[in-house]
Amino acid sequence: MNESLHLLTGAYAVGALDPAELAEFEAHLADCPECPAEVRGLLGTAARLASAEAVEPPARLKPAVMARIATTRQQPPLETARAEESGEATAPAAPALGGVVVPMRRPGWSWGQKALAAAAAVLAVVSIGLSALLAQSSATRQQLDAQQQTITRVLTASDARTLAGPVAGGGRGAVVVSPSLGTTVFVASQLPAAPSGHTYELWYLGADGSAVPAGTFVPGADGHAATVLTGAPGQAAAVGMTVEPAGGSPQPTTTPILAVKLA
Amino acid sequence: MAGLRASVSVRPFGHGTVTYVTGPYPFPGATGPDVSGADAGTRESAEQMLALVARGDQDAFERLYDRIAGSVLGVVRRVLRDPAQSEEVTQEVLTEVWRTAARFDPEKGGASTWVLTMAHRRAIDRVRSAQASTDRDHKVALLEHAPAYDEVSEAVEARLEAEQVRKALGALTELQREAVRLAYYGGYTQREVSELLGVPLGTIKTRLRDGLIRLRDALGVTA
Repeated sequence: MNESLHLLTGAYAVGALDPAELAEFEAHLADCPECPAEVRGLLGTAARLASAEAVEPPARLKPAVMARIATTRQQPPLETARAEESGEATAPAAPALGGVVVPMRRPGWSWGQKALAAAAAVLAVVSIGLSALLAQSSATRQQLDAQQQTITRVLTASDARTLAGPVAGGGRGAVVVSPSLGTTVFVASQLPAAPSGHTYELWYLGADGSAVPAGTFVPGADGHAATVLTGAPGQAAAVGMTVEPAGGSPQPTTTPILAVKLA
Repeated sequence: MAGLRASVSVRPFGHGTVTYVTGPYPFPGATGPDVSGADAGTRESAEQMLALVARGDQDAFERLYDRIAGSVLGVVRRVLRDPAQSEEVTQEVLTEVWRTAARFDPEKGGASTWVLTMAHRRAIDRVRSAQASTDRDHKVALLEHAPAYDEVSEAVEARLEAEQVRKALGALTELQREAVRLAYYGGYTQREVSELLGVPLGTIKTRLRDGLIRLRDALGVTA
């Protein structure tokens, strides 16, 4: 039996085992005196197949990753976790044992500077968008103030990223995301008025096909709009926009006229 | 507690028996604040960076990003094809590296291997779960609005690496090469590879193993 499991080192290294085979092989790996050394070499070889595919990552990827890690708590070392589980910790059961507390630091200035430049680029659009917002009779002064403050905070966040795209049917839309604030702002210009009895609705789109409503809005008469998306992007892959019956829909009922990817 | 922490964070340093199987393949195009110098002998290893990352050092993480993000994105995209999903998975993998850095075990291989194995696994998981799900067509079509990014870097080291691997793959038998290619880059299971090539499963297992051993020796991977 072990003989046939030995033969799986190659398939294991290239990820070709199904879940059942994988579980069986990993159990074997823990006991086998020979397989770990071979697996180490073959995993290292597989990693070379990966390095050979290296591409230049798009510039947007790094700030996105740096923003994510800045808000992600790290796991403690496995030895610490094991010792804790088995009650064999040599140290007193201080709360710090459960996880080494790592001080959070804001991303370095280079990110902030890039984000600021990006924010400045859309500020012009937004300021016009805000005036459009003011024209909306349905919004109260107070709501507008709160919304305006939120928009300003997002645009000036050190980790703000701007992603723009054309709107099918005319106009341009841009999404400004601040992972640290967990808030997303949408701005648009030259947007045609939605058909009578209809509104524009924004969505968080997941890579798995899910769509989560992120609010409706009506552009000003001049085609400008600025609004704060409801909810948080979470794992959303993109922000989309559709035309929906007035009041909005729980799920998109029409083909999206804009999709801006968040990654 | 201090003793526990120290034993973990110091381990990857000066570990004479660890061999860095993948070696560093940086992208000069993606220049980061890497001030460790051009001298390969004194250049900070991925293992050293990872040890610092395990302690919450974001600057070290940024250097590690510069070292390895291109390879992570490259292999993920080779498996997934879709640029948007590939970037998303790359972000997930790199965040996972940050999250679990303290659990890296140098006994099991080099830091680059650890990261790239994680990247490959995550990509094939995504491929296999996507195949299982059905209702995603129109949303996926949405995501195809996105522009593609630079196809191939001009970085010399990356090109040399690609060339070396291409040559080593070329020296395999056709069955070895196809099996490795379909499994690693295609994300197929050994069973699927067996069906695709019309070759018995037992033969595929053997070819994957002896094919990789041949690659390992041709590339001079030591572990």
